[in-house]
Amino acid sequence: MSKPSVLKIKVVTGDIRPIFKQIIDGIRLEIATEKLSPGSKLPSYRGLAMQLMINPNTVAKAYAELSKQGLIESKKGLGLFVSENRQSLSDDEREQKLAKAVTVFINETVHLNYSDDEIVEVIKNKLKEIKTT
Amino acid sequence: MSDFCISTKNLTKQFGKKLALNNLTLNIPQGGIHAIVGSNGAGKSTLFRLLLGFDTPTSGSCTLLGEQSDQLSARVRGRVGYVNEEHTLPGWMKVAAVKELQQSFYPNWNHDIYNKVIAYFDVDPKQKVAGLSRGERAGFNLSMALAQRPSLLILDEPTLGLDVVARQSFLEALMFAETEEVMTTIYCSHQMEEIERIAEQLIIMEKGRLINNSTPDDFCARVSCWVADWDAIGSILRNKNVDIPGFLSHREIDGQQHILVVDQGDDFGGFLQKQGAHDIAQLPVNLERAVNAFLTANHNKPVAL
Amino acid sequence: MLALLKTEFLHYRKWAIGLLALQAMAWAIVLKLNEYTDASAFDNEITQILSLFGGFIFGVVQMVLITRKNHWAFLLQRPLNSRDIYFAITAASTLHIFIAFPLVWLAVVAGFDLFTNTVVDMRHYYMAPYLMMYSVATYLIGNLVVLNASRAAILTGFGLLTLHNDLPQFTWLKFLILALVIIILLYLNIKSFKADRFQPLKSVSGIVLMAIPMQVILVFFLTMSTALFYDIPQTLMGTHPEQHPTEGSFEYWRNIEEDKRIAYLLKDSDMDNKTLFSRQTELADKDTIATYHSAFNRKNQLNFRDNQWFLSDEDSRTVWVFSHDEMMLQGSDNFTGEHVGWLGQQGFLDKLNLATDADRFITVPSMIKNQFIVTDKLIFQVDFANKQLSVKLMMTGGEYLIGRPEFKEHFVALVTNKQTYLFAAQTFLNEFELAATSYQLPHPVALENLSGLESYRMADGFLLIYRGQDYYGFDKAGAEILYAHANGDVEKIHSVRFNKQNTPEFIQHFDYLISPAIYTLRGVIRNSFQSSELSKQSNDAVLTRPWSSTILITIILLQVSAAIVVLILARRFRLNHGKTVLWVLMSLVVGIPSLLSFLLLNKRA
Repeated sequence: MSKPSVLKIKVVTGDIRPIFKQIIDGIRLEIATEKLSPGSKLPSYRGLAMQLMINPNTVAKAYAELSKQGLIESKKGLGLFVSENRQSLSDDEREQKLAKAVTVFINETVHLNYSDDEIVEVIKNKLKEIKTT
Repeated sequence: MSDFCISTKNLTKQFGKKLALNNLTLNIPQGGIHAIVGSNGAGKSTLFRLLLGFDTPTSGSCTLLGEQSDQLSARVRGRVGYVNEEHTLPGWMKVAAVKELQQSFYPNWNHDIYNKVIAYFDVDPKQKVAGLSRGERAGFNLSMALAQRPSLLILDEPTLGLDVVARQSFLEALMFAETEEVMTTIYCSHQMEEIERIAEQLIIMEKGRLINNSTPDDFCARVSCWVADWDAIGSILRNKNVDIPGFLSHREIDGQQHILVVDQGDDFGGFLQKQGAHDIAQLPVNLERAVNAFLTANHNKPVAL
Repeated sequence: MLALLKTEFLHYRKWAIGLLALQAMAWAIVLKLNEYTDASAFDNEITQILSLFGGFIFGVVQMVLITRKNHWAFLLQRPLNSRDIYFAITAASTLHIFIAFPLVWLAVVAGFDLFTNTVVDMRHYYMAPYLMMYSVATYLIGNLVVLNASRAAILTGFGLLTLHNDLPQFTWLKFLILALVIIILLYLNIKSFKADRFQPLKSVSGIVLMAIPMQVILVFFLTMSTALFYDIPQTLMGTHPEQHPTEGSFEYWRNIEEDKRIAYLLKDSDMDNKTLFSRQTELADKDTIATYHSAFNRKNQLNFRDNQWFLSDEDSRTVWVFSHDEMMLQGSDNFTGEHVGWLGQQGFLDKLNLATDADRFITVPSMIKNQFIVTDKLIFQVDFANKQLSVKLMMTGGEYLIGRPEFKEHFVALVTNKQTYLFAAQTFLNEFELAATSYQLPHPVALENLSGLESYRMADGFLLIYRGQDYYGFDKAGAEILYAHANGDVEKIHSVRFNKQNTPEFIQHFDYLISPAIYTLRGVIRNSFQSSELSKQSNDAVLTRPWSSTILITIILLQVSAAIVVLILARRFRLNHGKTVLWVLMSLVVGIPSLLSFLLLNKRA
């Protein structure tokens, strides 16, 4: 039986995001940045809960959400794995999510007196950075 | 009988003129970890005392695992573990002897659980209980409570006064020592960090009343923070001439008004605008802030869900 | 349960053993300093007080520690009946008490029994279980005070204990009553030992057993309270009847100067030479002779009640101690402790196996003046020099002594149930033969009506004043002067009835007024348990007193209003129907004390 991959995510208390949300975001980022490759095994509920010092049911809740989003899938008796084919959002959904994120982003940055180009440049660099690390 | 492991109906307890519990109706289903928070004197300990039959309600009734609290049978008592913040144990005895004592009462006693849990703590069985540190006593107490394999485990501020290491061990032991049965845990604490990590349900009590019983996330979502430039709020709060829906608390930071409200949607922005506020923005809040806002709110008490 | 017993035992084990060691040390010092000649000497007040307070304090402290909120939860929150938990604790405490109190005592007595020739009767050992039970009872009272919802439970506890204190020295009865007290206390404690201790007892038996003993004590306090609302204010205002007794009352007469009392009695008599007569009495030797029963020693009584239990002979350096087991006196050498023989009813014996039944005393005697052996029917005189025992006095028929002989300067007085005997002191003391009576004076009224007797030694006989507050019947004070002439004639000089009452009736009989039921109950209990010759008043006298109509009407008013107040309060306290009826009935019968116990035992809902 293969060992699960190590998830280098962390959760903090006192964050505005609930812990299960932090886990979802963390794992999504790991997958997006391909630190978790498709097909790799995820830690068990208990394992991740112990690592993060949280209630195993919270991990279960996060995993369930990720499954729903199609990012991970369970193989009977073997555990949970990162989905091979993980694009499951419809185009509409993707558009909506992007629009929402951009709104939050613009709200936070518009008053900072950067030129549009400067902002776009920072985003480009950041995206590049994430992909290369 | 009900499926609730704890059920109270219009429970009221009066000490002299003080209402320790005020018409409390609370149902806690089986399974999971339920955190109870509330400021000191919110009635949490009184609730436990009534549930365990150590006190009699002024009016109303409560049941524990389906039995009336004022006439609990030895059988039901055996199914309930109770750990208080003092971790009261017979100090004159050795650890091993106390364990033997407790073990003799519980036919379902599970050695594996005891050994697994006690392993989190550095407790020498030959030591006198009085010589244990607070953390060790807490661990020892938890080990015994879990080894009894209770259906219901009540923990009344178990980590109070424990250092960081002991607290960590305690939480780990509580969450990860595998207890196969379905166990309901009632966890009463002031530590929001602990609650965020372990609670599946969040019960908030204030002045003897129930003001929330939901998942922590749902609770958090109920509370929102609005930031606006709104000079009128001072006079509104003073004169109480305008009813701010769901108002919890308000703070002025750098001339901007931060208003915490409960159960308000986006239309609260519209309300603010109508009241002459401008530069309105909505910020999310974390659990601790939401809970604190609830507990410090003195006006417009929100009703329980 | 056994595990719990063990746990609780370990808790106080060191304390109990410490107390044991401390007492052992104390005994070692005491025995080193004093040469005890008899185990009866271990009538040790310290041991008794230690048992009484030790038990009570232990009971309180232990329960206070147990009932602290979290400790209480730790103890009760387990799959056991609360009754079993309490039994385990009490069983452990009984062991502690045994170690801490009677054990040392038992060891000392056993030591005397085994290693010396000292008289050690079975009854000396009885002291150990007695101390034990006494401690357990006070321990249970301590428990009850803490466990019960009402702190006034202390009244209940000590009310029950007084029941046993009222009782005489019969060992078996004392044990029986003490056992009954312990059982009642245990019952109340078990009922009070419940998860929610703050609720009063609900069962009828619980309520009644809590309330009645409490009411007995309350009657005592209420009677004492006359000091507060009557005696103290009256004294401060200078109007107390004792300061200014009413002319014509019994108290008035008792308060006037001693040498004028006879003159006062005679002031209405038609005696010719009464002035001269009273002048004579002023010069006469005056003595008071007791006319009340004083208890004789009883067979197998607990030894702390012992009274004058040995004779000692200086010349032969021997001491003679009465043994209850043998019903004879055992002699032993003062210094070596060696046996020197026995003394029975028929005289001295060298060996125990020579004794016949006729040698053994029938009742336990008292030793007086180091030469008289006194029972209520017989007085013997011992002549150690000639090793002889002579009978000094023998009562026949239904006559018996009510107390020991009183030795006055010139005469010896003996009071029986029927008459008073006076003997010439010299012959009574010095001649070893049957005493010849100088005067034989039948009581002019029944003994229970007498409260005192005074004698005046005149030139040709004795003048005697008999007196009593109930001399002519209940509350009919009187006095009578008799003259006993040397020739044996008894002449009645004069009698006086005191028709005025000094103290108002309702103060005088406050104990009855406050609760006739309790008053009668106590009287009857005391009379039933005391042997008949010891009780001052017969049950009939107690039950058939002719109370005045004022008193009776006041009583009815008090009891009915107590019942009404209880009814109103019971409504307000939201007591259920059954309990309300119980309390109202109890108050109707018992009166004010019941109302007070209601207030002490119930809380406002």
